[in-house]
Parts: sequence; structure tokens; C-alpha cells
Amino acid sequence: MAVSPNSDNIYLATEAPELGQSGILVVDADGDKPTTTIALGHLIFDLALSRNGDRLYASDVSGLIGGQSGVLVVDTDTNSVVTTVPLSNRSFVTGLALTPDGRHLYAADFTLTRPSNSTVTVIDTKDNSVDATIVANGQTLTALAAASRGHKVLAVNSVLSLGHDSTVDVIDTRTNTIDDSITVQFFPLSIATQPAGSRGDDDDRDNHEGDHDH
Amino acid sequence: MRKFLQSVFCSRRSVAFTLSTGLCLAAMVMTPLSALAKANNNAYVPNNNGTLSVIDTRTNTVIATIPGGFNHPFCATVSPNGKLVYVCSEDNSIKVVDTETNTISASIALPGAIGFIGNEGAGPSVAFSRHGERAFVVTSGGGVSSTLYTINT
Repeated sequence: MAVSPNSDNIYLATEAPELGQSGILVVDADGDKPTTTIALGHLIFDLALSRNGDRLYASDVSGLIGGQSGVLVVDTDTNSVVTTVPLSNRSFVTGLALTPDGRHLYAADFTLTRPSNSTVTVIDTKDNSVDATIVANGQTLTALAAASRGHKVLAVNSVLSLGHDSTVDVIDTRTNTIDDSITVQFFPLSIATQPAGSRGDDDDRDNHEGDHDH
Repeated sequence: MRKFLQSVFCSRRSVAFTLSTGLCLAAMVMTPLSALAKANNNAYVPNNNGTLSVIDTRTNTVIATIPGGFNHPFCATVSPNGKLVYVCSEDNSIKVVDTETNTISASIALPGAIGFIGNEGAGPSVAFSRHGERAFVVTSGGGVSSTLYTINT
């Protein structure tokens, strides 16, 4: 789920093709406007919205039904997919994390082969090219979050096995390498940090046009 | 929105009331300072066994593990001001965690499972508005429809 900066639009990811509802739903927060669908037919798991709201990134897990998995880049003015960054076919693209400056998108995925490969792909949002591919320590990355003003991205390396703790792997975004690992507990599916731009140490001006009027 | 309204209010008032201008300037200076004090450097990880791990991202260490109260939690979202974490629980509720005390301060009951129909259990089922006045959560009612709820935070 993602919320546009003015809260007018709520973006919902859905992956229920049997209901004819797969894709990205754009829902009016006040219920005044009809719901529209972007990327109809694609199975979408996670969403990330650029800070100014003009680009929406969606993790596409269509490889699970014979399509292509990857990251969809959506222009929110036209509600259309402008490009696709393909990842491993038949992989489950789970977490997405934008760095606070919006210049890089980190996307986690794992393949459905056994043993599975789990990677984090670093996408340059300027031209949507792949900057780096980081091989994760474990087999099932389930979520990502940016931290430390974008100097780190945290990757949840989840283990669905009793008696085995999961870890949070720490990616140094300057080198795009994993340089630390933090032990957590059983089978986490999510990780949350304070959103970029709402912290006192971030530049928040782009969100307060009205502040400059006087 | 709060800053925007405040700036409009102040600029209009300042024309007529010198005293109000002074008060407004004070308020505007204080806003970034208070925001700075609320920076939250933690990451929150809901573990399926019913706990929430709190990681200090500056030191990469777990500084707290909040026990109990969560029913197979599967998603977490931090409010824009860093003061709250909304944690999705499988008992159709959002547990509200106070990040100053690392305790559950409230529970918001929902009429259905959290998550879009066909996407239950996915991480991103709760989101805050840009300035945190509202939160949005989607639930599936057990049939073929989903409902979007707005929470006044």
C-alpha cells in the first residue's frame, strides 16, 4: 500500500487473478472517484512511491504464474507502466525500499527453485538500470527498509524453521555489500523504519510549497 | 498540512496583529526543533512468534524485544513522526506501539483480516498519510470484496 503526498490516492497491491482484481488499484481516499487499475493481470506484492508522488514502483510476482517477475515503474500522472525492470524469472519479488534521496530503489527477491537464491537488486531510478546485484546470505528475503538516512538498507532474511532465528542483514549502500547481520526471531515478514522526509534532519521543503508564499 | 495551515494563519494575522506575528514566528522556529527531537533511528521487525524486535540502526543491535500482545504479527509501519508503530496482528487488529516506552498503547479492532483479498499477509497493508493525521488499512471480509478503512490517528 502507498499513499500519495496529498492523500488523495491510495495505491493497493493485489495478486488475486481468480477474482479479476490483480494489479495495482488506485482508490480515492474519500470514495468520491471510481477505482482504476494499473497493470491489470499482473500479480503485485509490494509498492513504493517516490517522495513527490510522481513514480510508483511495484514488485511484480507474475513469474509465479508463468509470466515475468520484476519491478514495474508507473507514471502516476497517466497511471501507466512506463518501464519494467525484469528480475529472475519465477522469482518472488518481496520488499521494495527507496533511498531517502529517491535515487536508488532496492528490490529483494528469491527464486522458487530449491535451494532458492535470494538477491537484492539496486536500481538507479534516473534511467531504471540495474546498478548492482547483492547476493543475500539466506534463502528467503521477505522485506526491505532504508535506514540511517539512506546509508543502510536492512534486509529481512526470514527462516521458516522452528529453532532457527532469522536475521536482518545490513547493506552498506555506499559499497552495496552486506557488512553486518542482526539476529531477530522466528519468521518475520516485515520491517519498518521512520519514513524519509518526516525526520527533523531531512530536507522537507518539497512538501510545503505553501511555506514559501509569505 | 499543519505547517501549511500555520503559515497561512500566521501571514494573515501578521498584517493586523503585531503580537500574533511574534507568537507565530516563535511557533515556526519551534516546529523544526521539535521535529528534530522526534527522529526515530530504530527499525521494527515483527516476529511471527509474537514479539517485536527493536533494532538501533546506528549500532546494528537489538535494543529491545517487545514481548507478547501480538498475535502472529506480519506487518509493521512507523508513523511519520516516529512516535508510533502500527503492527498488524492475525487476530484482525492493529496493535499500536508507543516508541518511547516500547509498549503496546492501544489495539484497533478491524472487522476482517488485514490485507487485500488475495494478498492477506503481505507486508504493505497499512500506510500513514504524509503527515500522519490518518492511517489507511485494507481488510478482506472473507468474500470477494475488500474494504479500505481510514483511521484517525
